Amino acid sequence: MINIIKNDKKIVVQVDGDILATNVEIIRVNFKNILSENNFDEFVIDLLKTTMVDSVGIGLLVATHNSLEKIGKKLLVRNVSSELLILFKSMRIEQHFSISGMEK
Amino acid sequence: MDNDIVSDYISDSLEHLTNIENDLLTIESQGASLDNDLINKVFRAAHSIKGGAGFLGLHKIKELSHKVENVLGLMRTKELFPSPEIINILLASFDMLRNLINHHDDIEQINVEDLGNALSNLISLKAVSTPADSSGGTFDFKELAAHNLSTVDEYEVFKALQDGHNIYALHYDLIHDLQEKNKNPIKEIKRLAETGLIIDSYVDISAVGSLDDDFAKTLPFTIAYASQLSQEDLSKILEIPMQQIILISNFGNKKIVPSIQQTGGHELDPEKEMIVTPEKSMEEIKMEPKIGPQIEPKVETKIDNTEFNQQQQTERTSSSGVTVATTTSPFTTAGNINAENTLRVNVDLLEELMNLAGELVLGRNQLMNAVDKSDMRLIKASKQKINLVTSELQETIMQTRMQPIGNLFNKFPRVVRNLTQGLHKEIKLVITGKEVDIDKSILEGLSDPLNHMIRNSIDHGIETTEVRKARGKNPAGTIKLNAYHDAGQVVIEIDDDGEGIQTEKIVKKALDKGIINEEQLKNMSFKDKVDLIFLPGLSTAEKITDLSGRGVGMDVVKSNLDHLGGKVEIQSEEGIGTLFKIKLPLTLAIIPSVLVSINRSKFAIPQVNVIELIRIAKEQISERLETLGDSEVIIIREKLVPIIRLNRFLINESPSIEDIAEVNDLNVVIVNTGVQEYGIIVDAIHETLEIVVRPFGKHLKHLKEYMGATILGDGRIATILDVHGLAIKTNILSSSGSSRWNKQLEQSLISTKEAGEIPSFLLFKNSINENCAVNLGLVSRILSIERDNILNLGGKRTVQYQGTSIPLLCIKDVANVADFTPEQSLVMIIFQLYNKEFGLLAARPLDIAEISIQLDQSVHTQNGILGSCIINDQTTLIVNIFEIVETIYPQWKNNTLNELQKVHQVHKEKGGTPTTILLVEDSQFFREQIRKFVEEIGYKVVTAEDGQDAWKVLQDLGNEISLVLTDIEMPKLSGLDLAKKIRAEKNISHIPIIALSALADTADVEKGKIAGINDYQIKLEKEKLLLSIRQMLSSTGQHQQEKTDEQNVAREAA
Repeated sequence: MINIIKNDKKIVVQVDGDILATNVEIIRVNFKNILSENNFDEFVIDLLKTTMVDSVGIGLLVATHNSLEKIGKKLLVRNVSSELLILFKSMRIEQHFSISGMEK
Repeated sequence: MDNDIVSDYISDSLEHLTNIENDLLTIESQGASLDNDLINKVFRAAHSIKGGAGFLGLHKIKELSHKVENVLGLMRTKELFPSPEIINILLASFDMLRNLINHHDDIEQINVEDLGNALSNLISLKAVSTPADSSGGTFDFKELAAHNLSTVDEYEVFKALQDGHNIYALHYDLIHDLQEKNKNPIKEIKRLAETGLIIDSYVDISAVGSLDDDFAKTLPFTIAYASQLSQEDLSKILEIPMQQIILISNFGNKKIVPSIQQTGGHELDPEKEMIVTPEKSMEEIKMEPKIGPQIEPKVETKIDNTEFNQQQQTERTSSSGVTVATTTSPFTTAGNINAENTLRVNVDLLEELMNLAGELVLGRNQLMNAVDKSDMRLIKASKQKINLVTSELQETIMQTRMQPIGNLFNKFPRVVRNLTQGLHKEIKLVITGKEVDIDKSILEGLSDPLNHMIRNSIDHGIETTEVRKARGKNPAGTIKLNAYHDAGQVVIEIDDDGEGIQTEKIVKKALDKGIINEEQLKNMSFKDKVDLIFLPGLSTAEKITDLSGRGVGMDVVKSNLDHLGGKVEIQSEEGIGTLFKIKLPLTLAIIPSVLVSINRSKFAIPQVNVIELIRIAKEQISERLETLGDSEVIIIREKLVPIIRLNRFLINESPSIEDIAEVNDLNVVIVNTGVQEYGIIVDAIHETLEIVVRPFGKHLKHLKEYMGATILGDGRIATILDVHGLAIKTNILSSSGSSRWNKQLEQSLISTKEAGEIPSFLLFKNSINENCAVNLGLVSRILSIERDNILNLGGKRTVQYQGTSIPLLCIKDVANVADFTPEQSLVMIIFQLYNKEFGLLAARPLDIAEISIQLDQSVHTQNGILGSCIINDQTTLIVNIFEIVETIYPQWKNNTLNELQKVHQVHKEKGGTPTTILLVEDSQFFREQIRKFVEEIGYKVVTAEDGQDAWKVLQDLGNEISLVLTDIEMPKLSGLDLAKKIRAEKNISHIPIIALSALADTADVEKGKIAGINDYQIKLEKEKLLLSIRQMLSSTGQHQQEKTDEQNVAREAA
């Protein structure tokens, strides 16, 4: 479901598929583990393969941000699809953590 | 921060702000027919200011100008109408921007919040700001903020409101409302976007928790949402309960706590306010008039309280190409980088200065060369060049200081506009003379006084519209602000058509305050009373407003103007209006002047006051210099000009013998004070010179006859005369500055001069109201008599006197005059005519007048009265004593005539050519008198009015003239000169000449004899004159001819 790539101090989590209530739990556990190790500076979620995110999914992202904040780290979400981008913008999510669209 | 960049920004911004005021006022007056170019201009100004401010980190400026931009943008798209309230706010905003720019160092201290809010509110007003209606609702952003929606874009909100949307705060919980209902957030957002507008949103991320917790139990999400739908409809469509849809005020609709029925059974959440409004369509949205007055007082007080209203920027390129941004802000501190110390100069002017500098260098080199060579000729040449170039240089530099007075005048439309708001007065300001140039420093000093006087006109002068209508005046008052040059001064006029200065009020106030007392009041003229307003502590305003009433006014104005070397005059008429006239010197510093001297002291007279220079040769002094009472005058081209002797006045030396004897020629400088011309007698007149005026220090400042002093080339000091002050000190002008010379005085003196001698008249009364006069020369003596002494025998009146009976005549005997009244004190004026002595009855008072008379023969002429004239302001009858005597005692005359005729042996009947006598006399009175009695004897008289005229007659009738009777003092050709001419002309040189004159001292007789005059006679001594004529004629052999005629006749008879 997720690919975790560690690159020096940067962790990139490639989500393979949608983030929905159904698979949120697994992702959460994974994230929690990574965060507990705390051997990184950047935490990037790559949503290249993600088309759908439901409310719980959004909740996950927010929670991840919250947890990262606790350890003084920042969240980056990249390669967000245009639809998702609209959603995030409407929610002013970018005021909290960095969202960027597809890199061309 | 780099100072250069900052100061560039400041001067650029200030330049952008030039004329913004006038542009905004123009926009206001254009109203619906808005000129887009003008708006764009103002917009660009705001935009540039914003840009630079952003770059320099001046956030307040940036935000304020951004808001201003918004408002202007709305006006540009015609969504906002430029009402007075809006223009006020914009004006205040630009003022504030200027202030912020000038005080960028202290920017934190300056509060722009109120203004910012006002502008924001304006943007909300655009929906309602129509020509007819300037009301609207207010939007409470605080409410939105309460829902954590504080980053909402106001513009969007108001745009939505205008489009008829309601603003809601939607409360979602993403988990409850969506997830559990199997709704996808993406879709939901899309749906929301379809039914309305998401203006802002907020996610409460903290409520979500972290990865550890049992997260995602709740995801609160609030949206500021604009929709035309009602709450109910929204609730249905969005499928969220109505409690979660909160209406954020809608144009003043009251918030209603819903009843249970309407909410459909839901529990009221006490924390949330429930607003239920009936479904409204756009048309039903009412606009409440709350807004207008709401905003205004807030902003208005801001405007009133801020001093910046009075701080004005003046900036404009003058005709000489100088733009100066000046400010009269009280906040200017030395450390401020502001515009006051800079000057913008037109490049052309600089070019000229460069050229002149170059020329000066050349001249200097020339001089150096010449001095080295000790070549006088070269030195003179370079002196010339340097002189010329220096003058031009000075003038050009002066030009850089000259600004058009329009720079000052331009701020007044706004002042008038601001002050008249709320005063129930309608005032039109007319400005003329904007192009008049004036020195920069004077301009700055004028600002406060003019401001004050305009305020006075508005506050005290122009009446309210009702009052004006009631008085039949134009409901709109007019204030005319005008500037022009006159006699080397700049004149500024403030002319209002208001109620004029109420002297009653002023006098009362002055009395109340003890500034003047009753005694002084009695002696005060209208003008003096008007001038009372210049005294400190005087104010006639009933209450003290922001504008006036503090009594610190015109006295400060006057002293300010005094400092500038100016004067102020007031002309006022109650009910009509008031005119303030300020006169200022064109420049303070360097003036061309004429140097004169008294003994060794040098004085300078400003050339602008000098009209001409006159020298009177010492021989002519007696003719051209006259004394009138205690003053002296000279006659220039038939005009009287009062003069003063500078030495007597200034140096206070007692007149030297030289003065009295008038040994030297007179040097007179004729000057003009603007009111009166007069002459100054000096010892010598030197060159004209440009001098630097150094005003006197305070110890000498009170000497009004001087305007300062200057240092001459040789190091000596010359004091500079103030011709106006000097005129007042020497009584040529009265202390209020008006001329003492009246026409009458002039006239009488001139006519005297024209007439030649000044005949003397005895003035007496006939009846109480009848003033009479008789030629004093005819009077023998005067006796007081009692009525008892008068005897009336056989119709003839006589008076007994010292053993003789003197016939007494009355004017009433021959003329239609009144009787003497019993209380009049009587005298007898005794004449000797026709070898007889008689008296004329007259009454006191008696007087003597030495004036030339202008005989009016049209009204009072009758038997015994020659005519009338004005003597000592009274109509006086000129008595013809000859006629009186000849009427009552005709035989006297006849007897005498017969005798005379015998003596003269003029036989008219015999057909011989009557002897013709040429009578030359310029006074009509004497001419007639003399002609009469000469003709009576039988001679033919030809008259001439003056010497020239006589000469013509002699040319025409030379042979026929047997004798010339001529006056001496005559215009054009005097008697003496005529005599000389006659004697020089061969065919008439033999004619005897008798001079008629009042001057008969030996010196004159001698002169006359040299000129060729045979005899001197007193004009009205008839018998002596006739005798002389007889003698003259006989000696020239005229009589011989008659004798021959006689003999012939006798021979024929025989």
